[in-house]
Amino acid sequence: MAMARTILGGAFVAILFVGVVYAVVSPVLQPVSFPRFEVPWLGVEGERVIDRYSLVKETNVSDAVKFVDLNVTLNFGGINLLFSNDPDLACDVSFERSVDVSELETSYDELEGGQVLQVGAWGEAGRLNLTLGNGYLYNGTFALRIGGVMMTLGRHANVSRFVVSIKYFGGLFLEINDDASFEQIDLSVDIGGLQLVVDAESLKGSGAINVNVNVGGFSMSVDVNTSEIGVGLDAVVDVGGLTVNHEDFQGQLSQRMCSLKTVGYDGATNKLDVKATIGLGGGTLQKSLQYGFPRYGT
Amino acid sequence: MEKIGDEMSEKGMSGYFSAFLSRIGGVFLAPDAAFKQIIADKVGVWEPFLLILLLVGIEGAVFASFVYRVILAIAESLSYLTGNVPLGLLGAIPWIMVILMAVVALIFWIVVAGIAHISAKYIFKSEGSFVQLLKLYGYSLTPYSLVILGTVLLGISWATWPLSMFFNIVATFWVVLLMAVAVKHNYNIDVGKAFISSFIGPMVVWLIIVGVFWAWLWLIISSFAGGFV
Repeated sequence: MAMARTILGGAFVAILFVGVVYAVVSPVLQPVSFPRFEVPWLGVEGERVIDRYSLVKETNVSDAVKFVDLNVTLNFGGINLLFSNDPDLACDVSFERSVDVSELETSYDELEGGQVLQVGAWGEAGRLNLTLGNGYLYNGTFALRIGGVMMTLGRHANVSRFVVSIKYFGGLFLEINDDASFEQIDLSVDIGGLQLVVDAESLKGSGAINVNVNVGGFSMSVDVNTSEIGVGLDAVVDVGGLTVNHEDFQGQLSQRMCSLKTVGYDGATNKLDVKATIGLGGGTLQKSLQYGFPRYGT
Repeated sequence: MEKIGDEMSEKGMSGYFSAFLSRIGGVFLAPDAAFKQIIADKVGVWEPFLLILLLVGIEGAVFASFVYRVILAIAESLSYLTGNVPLGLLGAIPWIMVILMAVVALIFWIVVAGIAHISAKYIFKSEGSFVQLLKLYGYSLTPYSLVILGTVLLGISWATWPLSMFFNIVATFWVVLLMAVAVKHNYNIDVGKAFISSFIGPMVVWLIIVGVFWAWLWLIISSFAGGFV
């Protein structure tokens, strides 16, 4: 009987041992596999092509043009926008896509006596890089259904109004650098994240940024010379909370609302007013960004 | 703990391990005698505690390894869209599962023993130690090894599901039976009262908790509809 008990006890330990061995080796020896998920019209893999279009003064843009209106629509993918130090460049577009995906549809027209250049671009899926010059005043509407938008506004940026929206879900990143010039930028994301980085010693003029996130997070990083740039943030969160970790800001702060301004806001040379509305999610304000969207080359 | 110490000093580690195997085997073969011996030997509470942690931890690890394989498979399947993104936090899910299962099992151990203790001591007016019952309940979980075996078999091949289900059913009935025997010996009551204390009592408490939860849920839902529906 004693022997039988010991043998049964041994069988018990053996079962435990088998369990441990199986737990350790099964991920290596017995991998589970699912059918590969592929979207034929998305064509992330396979042969890729790049469509390029340029609008340059005295090449295909008349001398009379002063303003550029951009209308960019993309279903899936990424939009990357930056400004270059090229006064003749109205717009340079490169669209990287799979060969299976239809090419970017573009149009341009000169209106209002040739003063306004209207540029349109419609793409299905891919990576759209937009480079704008510093010799024109820009208006733009950028609509993306799913994906990411990255914009960098530096000393060459000369923007009247940009409207950037992600209709379904994705991420939106906007960086404001030294001597950027813009009047109004409207940013909206239905589901996802929105990051705004203001890292500048000065701006060419005052500007406003309106932010709307239905579900997700809004992160704002501000590192400015407060005597040159007065930054104001008015934010409301319906369901969620706000976190402020910035010594340069003062004002009213509660769990779901804030009205903050940098020290010396009234006396600052230029103002940047940010209004943020967040539905379900959270908002943060800090001096520097602890994390960020991965960036891709242009 | 004293007895274990004595055993270890007298016979060394192998002697202790042999006694442990004998206790476990005894619980399977002759639970009455095994529980009497465990009570007489004054085995410490750490042994059943570690036994539960081992049983549930290993079952959790087997289950978590399957979940990990599924996560890897999903990541591989979606790599077309996402690229070779590192698993990051997803990789921690199996570990979280193992820890959660162990914590829940320990809470379950104490709560079920507590209900049985209250029932045996205050309803059936018998004497017995709660810590002693905890120890016996720990050993009562040894048939849970069949659940581990069933999960491993299921992991190896889905075709073994009838055998796995059989092991699970046997293990459940066996554990319930052993718990009743444990209460019987700990409080010196008849097996009917022991069964009521070890199984019916916790079931009634469980049903009350579930009933209160559903009533609360009903109130919440009806409040959205403007009052009682």
